[in-house]
Amino acid sequence: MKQSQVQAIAAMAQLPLSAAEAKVLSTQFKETLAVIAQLETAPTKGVAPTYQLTGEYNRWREDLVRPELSFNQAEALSNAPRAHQGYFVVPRILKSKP
Amino acid sequence: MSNSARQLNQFTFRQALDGLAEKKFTQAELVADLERAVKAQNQALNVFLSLAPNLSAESEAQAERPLRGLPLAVKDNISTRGLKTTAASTLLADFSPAFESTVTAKLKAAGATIQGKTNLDAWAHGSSTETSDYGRTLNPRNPAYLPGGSSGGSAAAVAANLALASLGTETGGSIRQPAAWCGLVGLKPSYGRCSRFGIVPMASSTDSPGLLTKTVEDAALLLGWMAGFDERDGTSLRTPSERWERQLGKPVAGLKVGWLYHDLEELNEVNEKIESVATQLRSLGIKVEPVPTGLDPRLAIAVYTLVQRAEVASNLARFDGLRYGRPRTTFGAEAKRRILLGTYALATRDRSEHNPYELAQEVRTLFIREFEQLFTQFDLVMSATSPSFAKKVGVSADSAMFGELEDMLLEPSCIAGLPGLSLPCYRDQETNLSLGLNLMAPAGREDLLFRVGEAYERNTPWNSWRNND
Repeated sequence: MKQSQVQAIAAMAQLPLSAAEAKVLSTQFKETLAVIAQLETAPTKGVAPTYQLTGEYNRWREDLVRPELSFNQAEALSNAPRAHQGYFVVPRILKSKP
Repeated sequence: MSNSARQLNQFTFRQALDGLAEKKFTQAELVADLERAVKAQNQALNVFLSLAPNLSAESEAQAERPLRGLPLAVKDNISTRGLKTTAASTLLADFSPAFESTVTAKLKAAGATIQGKTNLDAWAHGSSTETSDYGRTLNPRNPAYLPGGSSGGSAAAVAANLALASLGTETGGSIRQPAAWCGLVGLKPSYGRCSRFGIVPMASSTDSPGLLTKTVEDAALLLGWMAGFDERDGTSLRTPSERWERQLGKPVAGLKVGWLYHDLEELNEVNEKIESVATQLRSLGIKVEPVPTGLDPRLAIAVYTLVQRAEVASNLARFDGLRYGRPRTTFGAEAKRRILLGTYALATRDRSEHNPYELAQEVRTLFIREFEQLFTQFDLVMSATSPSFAKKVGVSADSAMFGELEDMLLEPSCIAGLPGLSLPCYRDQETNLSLGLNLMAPAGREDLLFRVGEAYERNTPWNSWRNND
């Protein structure tokens, strides 16, 4: 796995990596590729995947506000690294004026 | 042991409950003994990451409830409102949840109290508790050895009598393996039995909150209060909780148990001891039959590795450093590795149009079917819990798949969502280390685990606490 490929995957995962980290990680894909190769030897022709075990699909609930299951604003902000007047502070995304 | 030498922290949960009911001692006295023990040993063993304030008062306030204010240690990947929850990561070093996990809420509603939060491999990514961002935990049985993981802190807390019982979580073996390495009972309930709401997520399709206890009875008792349907967990089982302690003492003669993995060469040393277990079970009238290995458990490691990493990559996306926690660059090396490899597993299609995650889930189906087939012949299946005794401190470093390899015998039942109970089945006189027996039942059949497990425990000398009276 090339370091450029590792950086591409890291970008997908929003995980900034240093060049040193990318270098180390590029060597560790070998083991994952070996694991995948091992799985390819199993007799899975015609076998459906099991994504989860309960056999159910989407569970729905009533579209009603239930205060006892919701945060109030103070609770929602209680662990915010940066908050401002009741808002989460986030990095700037739009660089230029609209 | 005479009463005057008795430290109340040495009791089992059940013994403590009965002692309080019979007014032999008070909550305050029990908490004092626990706190004294923690003060004496926590620094050396590194078991608790945080301790609840005002435990004595909280405990006394719950005296009339079913669990009488008894304290429980809780693995630090289980959210506890107002108590720091770090998942043993520096990324969450400052995180104090504004919500309670369902399992702790249920136990608190029954009158239990939270003693403190125990150490784990950071994000539960490991089987040693060496990869915590807050230092490793040591095995109280022999501090030159590891307690196992990822619920190593919870295991060590109980093994050292610093806690009466503890909560853990298992995704690929993280309750049963440390329970075996520390000489305790470890219960991984059926997937969906206990709510995952409030648990820092790892692999959503296998994560199972559970228990590490001194006896099978304690696990049966506490599961009853922890289990049950939760609308906030989309994979929560709709079957109601039970009073599982009522299973204890029910007849076991005539039950059929299949012995798995006995023919794997790497398990030669451990399998000798499991042969003794088979003999003991047979003396109780249980039929034990060795089963030739069908699907290689190493294939389950492959399934688990891919499924877990893919789901980890997805689950850890929520840690954006904006709403809570430090920035994503704070993730440790192991977490970064799993996120990357997991992202790759989700995002890739190879030349033959295979997506690795989908392929792993197809092989998963093969394991599920194999267990279904086994359970048409047997009531339970069993194996050694771990291929070895606890390993020495330091061995997990630079071993890329240490966790997944150690849990080889547990991953099949984890990916199939089956309930499993590990209990001590041998103790080495020289090292003081134990081996665990892993009993597995069909989904929803924890009753069989408790019935057989307690009968085995009662008829063998391996449990350190059973005869405390």
